[in-house]
Amino acid sequence: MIESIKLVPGKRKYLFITDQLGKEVLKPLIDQAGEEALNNEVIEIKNAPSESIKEKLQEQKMGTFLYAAASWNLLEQLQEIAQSLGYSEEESHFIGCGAQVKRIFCCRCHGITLYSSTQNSVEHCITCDHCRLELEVSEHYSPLQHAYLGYVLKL
Amino acid sequence: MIYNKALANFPYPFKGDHYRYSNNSVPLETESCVEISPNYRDDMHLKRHLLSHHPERCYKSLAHTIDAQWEVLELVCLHLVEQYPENFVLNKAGDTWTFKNNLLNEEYTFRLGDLHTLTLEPLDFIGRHVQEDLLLMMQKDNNLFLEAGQLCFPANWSLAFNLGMNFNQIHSPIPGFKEEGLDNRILRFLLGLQPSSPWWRLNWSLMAGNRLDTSLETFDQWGKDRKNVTKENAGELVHLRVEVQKLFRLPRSHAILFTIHTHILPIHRLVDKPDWLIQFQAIIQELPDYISNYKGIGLYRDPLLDYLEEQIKSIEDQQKGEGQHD
Repeated sequence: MIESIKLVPGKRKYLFITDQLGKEVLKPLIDQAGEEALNNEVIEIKNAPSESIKEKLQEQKMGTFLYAAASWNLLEQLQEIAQSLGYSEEESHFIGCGAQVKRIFCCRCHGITLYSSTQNSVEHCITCDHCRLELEVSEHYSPLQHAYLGYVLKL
Repeated sequence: MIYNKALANFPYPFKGDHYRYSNNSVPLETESCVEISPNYRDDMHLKRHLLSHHPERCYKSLAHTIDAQWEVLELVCLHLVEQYPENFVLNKAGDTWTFKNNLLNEEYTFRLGDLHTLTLEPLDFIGRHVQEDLLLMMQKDNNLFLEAGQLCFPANWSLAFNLGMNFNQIHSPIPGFKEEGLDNRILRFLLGLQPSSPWWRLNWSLMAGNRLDTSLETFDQWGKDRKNVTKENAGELVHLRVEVQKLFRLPRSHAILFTIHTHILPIHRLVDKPDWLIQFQAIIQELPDYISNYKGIGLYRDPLLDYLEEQIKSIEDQQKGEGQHD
């Protein structure tokens, strides 16, 4: 997935937001933008997105393309801010780095179980912490629950 | 409702000899978002039982939907008294309405817009007088968001999980739906709905068992029957589940009311309608795996087809026999 990231051509400006983990991922793109003398800006954040990041995103003019690469937790916060400011899928690209801890919503009891996507990543199955039902982790995501749906694994 | 006797009013969903996902909505002729069918009292009893024992999965709402919920209450009340004046009566004194349900022998007085005059939220209240599940889709940013619903008879999905999702997010698990561009085509259609022009459609699935409350939350219980279907019991155990879905634009809130009336027919009842039986067999036989699996048929399609084939053969033999007597 990471190899396929390319610089979308013809944008007025490229805004790169990364953390320590995401810096390596975006480096080829940042280098390319530099070599081709394209209008760009790089922002590195430490732990959590600050108010100034929000302002930075807000003040961008039409035609800015956003690349954000960061550890999953930080990325989700960035994604939420960008979405609330009206950034669409066509003008932004989000890349999660490292292990993703997903919240899994139990289809039976609605309890949440944490799941690290690097573990059991072949089986995609967990046991609900609350009702002990075996769950199959799906890609169906609820923004309100901040969670992925876990389906009944076996009947 | 479950059809054990009369077939006349069953909303048979099939046309042609194959089925694919599509936007099969058509304009609604009778302008009513709800319909009372003969099982009314039983269905209401079950619905209210589910609501009181499982509120966490049967009723959900976000706080800002209250105004739109009042609009739903008004619309449903008006449609009930227009369609069934003997069973439902409405007395209006300005904003104070007295709603009488003669089928259940109940009477309520409330003031429109005043939550203190109802013991439940308006959507939850009026939903307890109709067999339909009621879903409220709020419109913003060129999309529709499921932000309130009373759902007792879902076809294997969870209101608690789907609450707050937009149209595309809700339908993302349906195989091929996004890839074929159906999600955006149907969304565009829904965004264009006008207050005076309601639409309706039929949706179908098959199930092993005859429960109306096939929630995702209880799938670990009722889903097991999918493994128990045989050629011998398919006619009794497998049921055709049809949802009559209606779409109404609410003029004040610009939200959409989506009502679902679920009808269930044991497959053996198709034998009384040989043309339905033959058409149904052709459709199940031709159904691509991605649809068959999503509709929950995959595990028992073979025994079901064996059963259907046997029934069709026996009808043909009977007709031949009758031919020879002539």
